[in-house]
Amino acid sequence: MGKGEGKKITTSELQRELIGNYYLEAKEAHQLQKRVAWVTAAFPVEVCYAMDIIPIYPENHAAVIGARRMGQTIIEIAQEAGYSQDLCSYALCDFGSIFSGQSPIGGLPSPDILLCCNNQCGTVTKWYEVLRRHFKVPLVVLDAPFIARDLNHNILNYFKEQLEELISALEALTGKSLDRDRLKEVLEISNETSNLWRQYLEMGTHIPSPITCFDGFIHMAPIVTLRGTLKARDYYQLLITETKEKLAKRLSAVSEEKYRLFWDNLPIWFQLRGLAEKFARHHANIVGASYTSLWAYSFDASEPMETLAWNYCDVLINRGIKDRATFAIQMLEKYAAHGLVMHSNRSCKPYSFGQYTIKKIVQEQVGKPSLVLEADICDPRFYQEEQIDEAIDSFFDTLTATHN
Amino acid sequence: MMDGTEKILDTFAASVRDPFNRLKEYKARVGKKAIGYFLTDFPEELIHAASMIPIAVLGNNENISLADAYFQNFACSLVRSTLESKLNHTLDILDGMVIPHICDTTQCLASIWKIAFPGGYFDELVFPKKRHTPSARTYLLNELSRFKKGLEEYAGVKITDESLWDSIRLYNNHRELLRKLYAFKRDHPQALHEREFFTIIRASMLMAKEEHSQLLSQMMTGLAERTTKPEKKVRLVVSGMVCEPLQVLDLIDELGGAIVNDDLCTGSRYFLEDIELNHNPLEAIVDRQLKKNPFPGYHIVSDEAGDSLLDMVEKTDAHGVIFLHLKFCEVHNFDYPDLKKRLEERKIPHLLLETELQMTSLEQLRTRLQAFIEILGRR
Repeated sequence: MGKGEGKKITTSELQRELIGNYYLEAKEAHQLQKRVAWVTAAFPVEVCYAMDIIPIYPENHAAVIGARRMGQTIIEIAQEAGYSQDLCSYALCDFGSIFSGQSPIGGLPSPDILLCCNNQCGTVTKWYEVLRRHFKVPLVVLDAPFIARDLNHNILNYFKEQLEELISALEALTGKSLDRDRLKEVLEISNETSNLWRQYLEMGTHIPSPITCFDGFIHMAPIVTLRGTLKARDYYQLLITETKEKLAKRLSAVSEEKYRLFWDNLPIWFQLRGLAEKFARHHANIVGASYTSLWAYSFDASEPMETLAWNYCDVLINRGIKDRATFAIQMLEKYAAHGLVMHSNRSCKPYSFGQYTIKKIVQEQVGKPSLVLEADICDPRFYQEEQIDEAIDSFFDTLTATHN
Repeated sequence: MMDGTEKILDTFAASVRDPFNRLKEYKARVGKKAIGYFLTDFPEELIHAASMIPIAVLGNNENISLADAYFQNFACSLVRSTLESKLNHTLDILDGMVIPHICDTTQCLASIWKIAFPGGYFDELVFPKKRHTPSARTYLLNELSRFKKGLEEYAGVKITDESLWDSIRLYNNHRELLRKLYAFKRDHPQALHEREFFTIIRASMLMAKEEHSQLLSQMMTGLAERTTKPEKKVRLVVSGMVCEPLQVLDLIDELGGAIVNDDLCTGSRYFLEDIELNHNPLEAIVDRQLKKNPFPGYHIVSDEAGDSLLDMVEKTDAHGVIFLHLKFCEVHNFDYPDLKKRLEERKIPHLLLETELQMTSLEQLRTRLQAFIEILGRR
């Protein structure tokens, strides 16, 4: 779509352009004398952007594979190579795509280095070890110990030392030293972008809400992949302008919004529209999600190492179930939501185990119900439509009974 | 009066069958508290030096029902069974529990445990996932110092360097005994049934070290009598987390196999590495943990997992490898295809068996093991 005079570009057009250019640039990286790093979803990517290294996200690619419904075919290729179907389907999509070249976007440019932070799960460490053996390039793991008690100095110091180890590895790769002032600039942009992202997500607190969590899932690609660039910042400025227009017109994302819910865990990528419709039929809007809020960072650019350590260690899923239950209760309150929708996601053990306990705590403490949907991010073989429908219907029976 | 080999083996088997009943008697006799721990790499020496009894909590083969209220069915059966035994009061005799985070599932188990069972002594050890950097070593040292302080407060005992060295020596001696036993078993595969051997190891995690060491050394002198009737066995390496269910061992025996090496947490991983007696005891514990063979729950650098597997095979002249994986154990599932490739490059036959603690039918396992061992026997 052109950016013709007088014609306003929409975020969906802009996202296509942004992400399209991003992958294009990555594919031409080597001609442009740039390096490509494969990174995990919550990696301190500001360091990469500050060093002019292009970060590529296999998780984002896997999500696209899932959303385009290529999951099963590609996962089966990984299974044929010996990878169990019980493994994370993002990893399986990645492996299957690498082994077969199948991809909705023509594949990913191969990495010069692999960067993995285990703040989100232990899975990524094992996944990136496989990538290292396959691509035979260096792998840097940032170990963010689980916050079992508090985010103490032992954790932070360990992480900060590893950030320095990371910088050394990247300097060795690029032959250039990190410009620390440039890192501060990137952190400032990243912080601004994170604030815009948070501001957008919080628009879901309006009653009725102009957005749904499914909108959030669609709009998260730039905050994940381009966090730290001006392009991402501009994208969210546009998104906020668009959403404000909807708000001014009092547009409700779901017709006659009656119930407001909050989503926990990753999306079921191959069922975004299907699920949105199922909930909309009950006049229910899932107005926010714990998952999208993971990228609402808060950086203090004056202390780069300190702020990176705090932000990237203190990720919601790097905390215990008690903290996650407290967060859920806060969100229910903030979004004036009637209950939780939990995706019990076979691919993500650390995010999913404990959901039953959170459900119980939420019921006991604020008397709000939770709906648990047993499914998966990318593998449709773990999605039983009838069971999902039944679970949703019975959940709304309960909600209706309580609220009438 | 010295007990004979058979009687000692019976004692070990009884402890494996019903560890907590036995512990109850022992506790009453010695007047000490008992602290349970989950696998693996748990620094038992610290509990021992605080004048308490460390006891492994290994799950069991009983059905799981109560734990279903906490864990989805895609959590491994070891974790679900461990929680089940807490919920159904099997673990009531324990005064406390420690769970090291060795994977995402154990991390969640610890988190659930704290909420479901408030009060009493509980700790969780957040190990570093890296093993080769100075920053990981410093982190682990601080984490173990914190753990040590908590233990001292709970036990009301100061863990001195001297008491810790004493415990380390006791444990090192015990580990040496187990290594000797393994060496004996390798040379005389007909002298010990697989089930007997792994029962001895398992019992060593479930009994006080003083008692187990004494019984074990007594037993080993009598073992030589069993070295008659030489028999050709197919030499196997077993790789995985735990050997479950134990009937797998009976099958291996029955079908003419002998396990000559393994990297199991309820096997070699428990006793392979000693703690060096050369500097500060807590640092010595840390160094031991960091130099151990690579458990896949940690970050594996370079090709050390494959190297270590090939090394196990070559050192013991094994005919083949059995990957004995717990269903849903992600860390093993991720490593498996590349390990398989390494073995195939060297033309080392291998078999993958996926099991759960609550496995009801062994027929499929038998069929697959039989075919595998038969083929190896013909080579």
